[in-house]
Amino acid sequence: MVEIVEQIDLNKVYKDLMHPAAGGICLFLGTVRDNSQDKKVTDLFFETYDEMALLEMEKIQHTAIEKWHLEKAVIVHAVGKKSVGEPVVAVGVSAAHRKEAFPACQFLIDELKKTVPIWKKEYFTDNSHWVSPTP
Amino acid sequence: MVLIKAFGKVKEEVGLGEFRIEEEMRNVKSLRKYLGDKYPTIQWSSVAIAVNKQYAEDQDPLHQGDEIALIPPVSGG
Repeated sequence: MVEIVEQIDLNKVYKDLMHPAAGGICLFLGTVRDNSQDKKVTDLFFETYDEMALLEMEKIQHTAIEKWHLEKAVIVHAVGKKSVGEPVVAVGVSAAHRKEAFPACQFLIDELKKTVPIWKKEYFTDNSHWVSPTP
Repeated sequence: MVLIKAFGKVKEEVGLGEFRIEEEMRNVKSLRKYLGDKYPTIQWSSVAIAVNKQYAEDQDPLHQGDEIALIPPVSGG
C-alpha cells in the first residue's frame, strides 16, 4: 500500500502489513516535533505532487520488497496542515524475521526523504519557511 | 506548448501553481535556460525537473503536451 492521505489511520496501516508468513512487523512513524533550529514549531504544512509522489513511493516499496524479501511494505504520507504530535508519515514492513525488517523499514523512510516530491513548511510563532533538507 | 506545475518554494516565487509555455522547447536544458531568464531570482541549480512524472536530465527531449514539474529540494517525512 502506498497512499497520500489527510489523516493517517494506523489501524489500516497495521491491517495492511499483517501477513501469515511474517514473523514481525516494523513500523516507523514520523510525527510533528515542537522545535526546529532552536525555534518553537507550531505546525507543519505538507504539499505533494500526488501522482508523481505515488509513483516514487511505489518504486521504493518494490525495491525494498525485492531486496529484503518482505511480505509487505507500506508507505503512507499525510498532506495539509499538521499540529505538534500528529503523525505525518508511516512506513512499515512485514518480514519473516526482524533482521530483514529493521533495515528495510529504515530504507523506506530514508529513500522517501530523498526522492519523493513532498514539501514541508515549518510554522513558527512569528514566521514560516519551506524546509531545505540538510545535506 | 507544455504545462508547467510548480511546487513549494518555487510555486511561491513564481506566484503560480500551474502555467503554460507556448514557446517551443527542444529539451530540458532549453527549458532551464528559458526559466532562468524569466525568473532570475530563483536558484535553479537546486530545482529538479520532472517530465511526465519522471525525473529528467538536461538532454531529455520535450514534446507538445508534456507535463513538466519544477521540484525544489524535497522535504517529506
